[in-house]
Amino acid sequence: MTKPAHNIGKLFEELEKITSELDRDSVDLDEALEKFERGLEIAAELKSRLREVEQKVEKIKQKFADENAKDEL
Amino acid sequence: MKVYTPSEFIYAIRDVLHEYPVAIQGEVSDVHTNQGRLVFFELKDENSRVQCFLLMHELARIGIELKDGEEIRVLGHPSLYVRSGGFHVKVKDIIPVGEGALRRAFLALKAKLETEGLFDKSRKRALPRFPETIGLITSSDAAAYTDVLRILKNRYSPTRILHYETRVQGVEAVPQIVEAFEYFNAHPKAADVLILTRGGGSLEDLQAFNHEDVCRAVFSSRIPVVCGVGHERDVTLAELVADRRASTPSNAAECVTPDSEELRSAIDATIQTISHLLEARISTISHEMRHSAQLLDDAFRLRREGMAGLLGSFEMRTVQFCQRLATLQQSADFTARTLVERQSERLNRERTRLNHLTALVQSLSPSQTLARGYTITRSAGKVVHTAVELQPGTTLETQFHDGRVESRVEK
Repeated sequence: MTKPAHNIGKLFEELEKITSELDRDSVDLDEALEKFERGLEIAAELKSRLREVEQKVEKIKQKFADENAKDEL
Repeated sequence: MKVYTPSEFIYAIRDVLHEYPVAIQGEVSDVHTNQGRLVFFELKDENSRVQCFLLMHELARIGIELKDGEEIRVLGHPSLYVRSGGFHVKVKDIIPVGEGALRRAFLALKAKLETEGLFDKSRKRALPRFPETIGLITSSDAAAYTDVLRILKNRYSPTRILHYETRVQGVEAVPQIVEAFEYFNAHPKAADVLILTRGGGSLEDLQAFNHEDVCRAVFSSRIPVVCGVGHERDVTLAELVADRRASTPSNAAECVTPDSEELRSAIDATIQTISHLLEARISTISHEMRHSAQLLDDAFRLRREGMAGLLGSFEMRTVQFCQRLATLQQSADFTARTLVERQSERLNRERTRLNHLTALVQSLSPSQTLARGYTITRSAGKVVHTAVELQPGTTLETQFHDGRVESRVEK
């Protein structure tokens, strides 16, 4: 199971940060444009992550499993 | 064959019996205590009875009131009393059986845990917004398991599910659930949130979720716990202890995940917001630029007008200055002329006076007197004023107006 480079929570946080930064006047236009482009990138990444369809379920091998097996014998 | 002493024999058999944990269900009878520390009772059915024994503080921990005639299930192991060799079961846990007893046990434990603060709202933690991994503690046989997976898949697929298989009822359920919590808390990075769930059932079915050990495992979990059981009307103590109580297993899955559909809308809304912010920024900047250009233009116009005014004023002042200079020139010429005139007048006056003075001086000069026939007599360079001071033989010098002679005094 490969872990994605950026988790969704971090990406969402970044998107929210960009929104609040653009809402302040201190950002100059070049920076604002860069942030806007980054925002679009994140949005695309998030949407693609949300489209994943494969469900990832892993079983944990617990010690009771062995005991149960013994009981059945 | 080995020959035992009685105590050796008792200890040997005890050791063997300890290996066989048992669960016995029956009716309680003959409950009595000894020295306030030991509790004895019997479990019986129609044909047999089994002596049971536990310490008073263990009974207090289990939180059950033993009453004659009540049906209970005892977990423990067989043992022998060292002194009498009497057979008994050493009780580890007691599970009430039968609705009435279960209800009382439930209420007693609920009151106890409430007093201890296990249900306190203030200790309930927020669930992660975007869980990467969800720890699922339940039985894969239960409908709850498939419900949870179905909801998670439909609602928020990027999450990973770590399923810890446990029984959710029966004697194994409690230790397995406790074990599951121990596992996840020993690997706290393994899961961001835990779901403990099972389907609905009778109070007896739900016993594991009303068990003190499970409640304490939920309470002490460092990972936030969502607990959802069966139908909404079933409330178990584990749910009250959990950080979030879900009404059903499906609801538990909903509690721990955001909804992808809502997230997509939120992402779209955010993009719209930042687009508007950017447009607003650009519009503000272009407005500012127009304003600045206007200011600059105004400033130049004012400066130009100011310069023209300054030039006009300078010209006027130059003309005035020249006029003033001419006036001053005239005035200076007049003054100079006056000065020269006055000077020559004065010169003439002085000259006239000099002439008078010369004439006067000339009139007083001895040469005029000499010209009239007088002489000046000198002896040894000094003017002689009297004859008395002259001796015979003295040489005299006589000055006339036209020359000098020398003579000698005779007498």
